[in-house]
Amino acid sequence: MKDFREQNYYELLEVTVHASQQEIEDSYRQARRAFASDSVATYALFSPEELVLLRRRIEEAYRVLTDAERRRLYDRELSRLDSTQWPDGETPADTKQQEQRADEQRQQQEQEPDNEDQPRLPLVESKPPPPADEVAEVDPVVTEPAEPVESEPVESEPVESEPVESEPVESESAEPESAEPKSGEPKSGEPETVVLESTKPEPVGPESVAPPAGPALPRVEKTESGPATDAPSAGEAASTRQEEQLPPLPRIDDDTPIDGELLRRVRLARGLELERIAEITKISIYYLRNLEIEDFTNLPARVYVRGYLKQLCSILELDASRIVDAYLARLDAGGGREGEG
Amino acid sequence: MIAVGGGKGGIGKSLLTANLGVCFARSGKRVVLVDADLGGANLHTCLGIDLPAASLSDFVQRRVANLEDVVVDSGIDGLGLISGAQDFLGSANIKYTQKLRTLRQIRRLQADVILLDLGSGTSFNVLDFFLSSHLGIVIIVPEPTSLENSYRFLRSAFYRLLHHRESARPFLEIIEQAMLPNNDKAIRTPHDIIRLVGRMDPERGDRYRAWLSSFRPLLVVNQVRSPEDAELGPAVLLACRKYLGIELDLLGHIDYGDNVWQAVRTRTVLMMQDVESPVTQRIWHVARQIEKRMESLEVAGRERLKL
Repeated sequence: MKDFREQNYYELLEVTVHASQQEIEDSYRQARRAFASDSVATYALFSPEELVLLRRRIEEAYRVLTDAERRRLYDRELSRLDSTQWPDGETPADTKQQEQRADEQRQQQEQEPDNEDQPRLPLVESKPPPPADEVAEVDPVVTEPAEPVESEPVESEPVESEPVESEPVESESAEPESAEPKSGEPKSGEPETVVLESTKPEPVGPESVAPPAGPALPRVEKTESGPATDAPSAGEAASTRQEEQLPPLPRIDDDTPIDGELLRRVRLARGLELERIAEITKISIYYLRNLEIEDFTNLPARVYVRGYLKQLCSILELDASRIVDAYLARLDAGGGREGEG
Repeated sequence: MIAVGGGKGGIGKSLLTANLGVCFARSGKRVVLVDADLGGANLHTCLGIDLPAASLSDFVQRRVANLEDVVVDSGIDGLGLISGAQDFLGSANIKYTQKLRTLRQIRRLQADVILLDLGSGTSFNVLDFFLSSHLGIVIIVPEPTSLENSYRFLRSAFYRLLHHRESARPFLEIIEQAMLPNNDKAIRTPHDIIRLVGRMDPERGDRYRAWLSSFRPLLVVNQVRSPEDAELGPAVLLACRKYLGIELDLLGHIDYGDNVWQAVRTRTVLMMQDVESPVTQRIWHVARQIEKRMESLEVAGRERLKL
């Protein structure tokens, strides 16, 4: 299932590439009703802008697919794209063409036996200008620009994460994506882009830009596979032995600094794990931890912090009137020990 | 083990649970209804019986060691009931360890069908009960508020599922971010998470995508008063698929009928009355649909969250 912004016209209308005129009509009518502006079904799901965009795309899809000539052009355009775009491995292109392309792929893979280390194939973004009237209609899919997104490249953090091997691998549940054309491919999360016909300078529609084009990021958890020192699940086990011995509750006098460390000490004295508090309050454990270590740059807006502190006080049985404002003052003063653990 | 939820209160969860329970019991199955609406339990009322002496609280508070011992007779053959917790004090927030213990014992109950009547809202307890069941039913009524809550419920349930299955830090943080309503990573749908995670680790993104497509809650549209209302089911399926990427499985709709609330007032169970009404027919239809899903489960097995 793809985001509707990435769906082609067939996927948008949820019809097969062989759908008859009648099927397209029916599907269109149903979609129109479901995504009408007064439809209850979309309430609180789509934003108004998204709904407008979706309706526009459905209209586009309908107009193109119900016009025999435009549909033919669109099919041709689609068939040039990666055949794995098609959920059932079929494309509107005739099978001969498909086989031909599969051959080309195989050839290409033989030429590049190990493209793991090679730079990604450049994506062909510029297409030679087709007839002007075609461009507007056939332009298949509005895809997101392939700008490298800010996803911070996961700094190799000290081993908080469990070794990935220990994870339950639910391989049998994996979507049975039919992989007929690329059966010869090595199964290693091969970038889809390889399947593009880079050998012949064919015009390629913008949809080919869809696969994430950012640089391959290092897989952190594979390189760092030490023992899981502080796995979150350990908290549960700990909560059962917490009754044994707890540190004393810190005294809070007038001159006691109201800071993250105090929150932490009170929490420990109450025998509470961060996980437990996160579960009760539904505050992200990430923020709870940042409150304690005073990583002020990584906290949400002040108004949320205030709410968090109030909740925290009620759980830690602290006097909120005394803690909340004092802590916020500290936050406003811009103190804090950035990033320190 | 089947959970009945839906995010919003007052949409007929308990009533439907009770009536479906009667359907299953009448087709010869051993049924236990569990009132998992911690803090707002009233399943006994839907069954027309007084508040039982033994309840889930006794088990949660460890006054009773064995969950079987709090199953009471519902007065209907083949239908047992575990009444809900009646404590005022924070029973909606049972401890994680208690939750595990409860779930474990619910699974071991001697029964063919276990129906869980979930509370409203999207607390982790509600979500975990939902995710741990073999089948999860979401009930909606044709009102914007119900849909708003249901979508939130579905989204939260899927995020919670990811959170349980993920164990590596940076990804957990993305999921936790997603659970915040106005997160600064602008994550609004499962697609956004998958895209974000897929950029960092494509294989992981694929795994998430597979989890998303195997996450298939069942849908029942309740309190249908008009033909337009009855069309809501398919429309919700479409919207959910398009926007959230969550594929729902529509079991059917149930008409609004005066005999429903009349039955509660007279403290009888609708499905025990032998009068055929549109509502009873619809409920039977939904029950049969569920039975079909259960049969295919037995054949195929089904992954669910194991806490």
